Amino acid sequence: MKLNDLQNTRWTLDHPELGTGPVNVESYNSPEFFELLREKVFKKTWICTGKRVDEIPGPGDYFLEETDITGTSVIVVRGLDGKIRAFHNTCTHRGTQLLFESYGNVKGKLTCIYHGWAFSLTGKNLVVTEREMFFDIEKMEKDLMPVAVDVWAGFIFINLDPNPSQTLLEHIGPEVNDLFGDYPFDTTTVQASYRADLDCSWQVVRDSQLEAYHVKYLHNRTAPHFMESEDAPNRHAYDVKLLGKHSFGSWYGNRAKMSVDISAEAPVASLAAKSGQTLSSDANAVVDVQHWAKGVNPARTQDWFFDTLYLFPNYHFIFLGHQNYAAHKIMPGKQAGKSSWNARYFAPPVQDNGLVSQWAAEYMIYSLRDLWREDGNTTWGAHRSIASGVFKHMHLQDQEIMIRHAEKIVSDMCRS
Amino acid sequence: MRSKKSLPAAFADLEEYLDWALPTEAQRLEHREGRSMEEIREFYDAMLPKSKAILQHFRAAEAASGGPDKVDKETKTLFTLMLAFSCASLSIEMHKSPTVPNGLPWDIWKPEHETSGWKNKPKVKLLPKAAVA
Repeated sequence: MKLNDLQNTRWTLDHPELGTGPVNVESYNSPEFFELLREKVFKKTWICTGKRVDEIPGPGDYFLEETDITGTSVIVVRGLDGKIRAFHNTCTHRGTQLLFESYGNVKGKLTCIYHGWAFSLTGKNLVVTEREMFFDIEKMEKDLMPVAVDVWAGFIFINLDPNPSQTLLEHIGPEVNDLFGDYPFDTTTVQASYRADLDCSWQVVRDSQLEAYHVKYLHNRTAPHFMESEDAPNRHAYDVKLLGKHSFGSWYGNRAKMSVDISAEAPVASLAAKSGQTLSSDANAVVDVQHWAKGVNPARTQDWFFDTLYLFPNYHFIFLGHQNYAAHKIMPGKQAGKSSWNARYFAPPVQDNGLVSQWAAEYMIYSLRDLWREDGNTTWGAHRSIASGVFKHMHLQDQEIMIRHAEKIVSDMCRS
Repeated sequence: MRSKKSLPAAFADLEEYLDWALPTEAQRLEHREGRSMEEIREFYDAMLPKSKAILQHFRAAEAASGGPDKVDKETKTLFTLMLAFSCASLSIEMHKSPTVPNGLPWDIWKPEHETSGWKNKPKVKLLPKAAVA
């Protein structure tokens, strides 16, 4: 497929419920809307932790999932039986925090530092110290408070609703599962993880990762000429799909520029690209595009840069190849106008692959990190404009449809 | 008393740049951000002609010692220097600046992979699709 085959396509017009007019952004910094976001979205839906099952492989392995907008801290732990469970990080005696490190291992049982109460990894209370001194101990709610946890494609999700209205698979939906469930996520592990706490509303940061329009301009130094098509200069999207609450886009890449020319201008980038898999490497050279997972690079074209899969509400996959991807976990902060952004890069493990591969893998991480610094920087100004009340609505082109859709889904959910 | 770091003999003339070979990614980035373009360019120009030979050295060293973890201290120092070189190369080849122009300040993006909690993570062991929750 060539980009100019799509010259007359307007995805936005296929979805009349989205409209084509300006999109109001007053909710972005509204404290009232923030409350709705908390009560109706983040306390009620499946939140992707961004952590994969391979990060807690053995019995007792855990991580803490802290969610600013709800103020909760959740322990996600693999039990002695191998099953992954989640509990509020709260001793049932007087509410003390049980675990403190972001990752760790609990040997057999969880013991509270305050009064020595102990719990099994299934959440069951094992020990109440000075037990005879308690009243009505049989009727006391001593077990840890469970939190719904489940796994899709190896990624761990939690749901803070004590009675989730949907299973995780229902939330993901049959289309996303069919198109992306077979991507070889299980051959990858997290290579790098960065976190930024931003004085910026969640929606602005979310929007920054829902379009590829900016790549040609904002990233003209870190991704030079990668999205310039002589074939169709105003088009960069091969495909867009709205998949229930979620959405997908597939974007053009100028492979000729990305793979070939850089050795003169950028010899180190070129050396890294040849030594491992970086942004400039030809992803197609590794595994032929015909064998990729169904949903990725649907145009099956050589001139491909990346795909974006947005899992409502908080997770954006950026597929960079057959077997490597970035993923952005973008969350509201403790109040309106604050947010956090955790950016991760996943690829097959390199530790055993030798120093040269490790070096190239680190190069890839540093170049992504610097590119993400460009993305992050556009968010502050937009937030200030909205927070001051000066800027009330944004104008979106057809290829920014994922923003339009994401905002409609969350607004409808909050105002229902 | 810590011994002075050194490099494999073939690359001893790069020892004047060992102040770049800081142990963590955040420290190496901060170092780059604080240098002038002339200083970054000098380091880059010293490393570039040797870079292919350095990668060859890595291959030979790990073959001789039985693995990337078993190479000698000097080779590990050289590896850290090569990581610093990657960081510096972004300034020369991409940003044309010690920092990222129009980018977030360097210390906003905090590497989780350099925190104490991350050090508690178990060694990577991929789980096949079937072994889910």
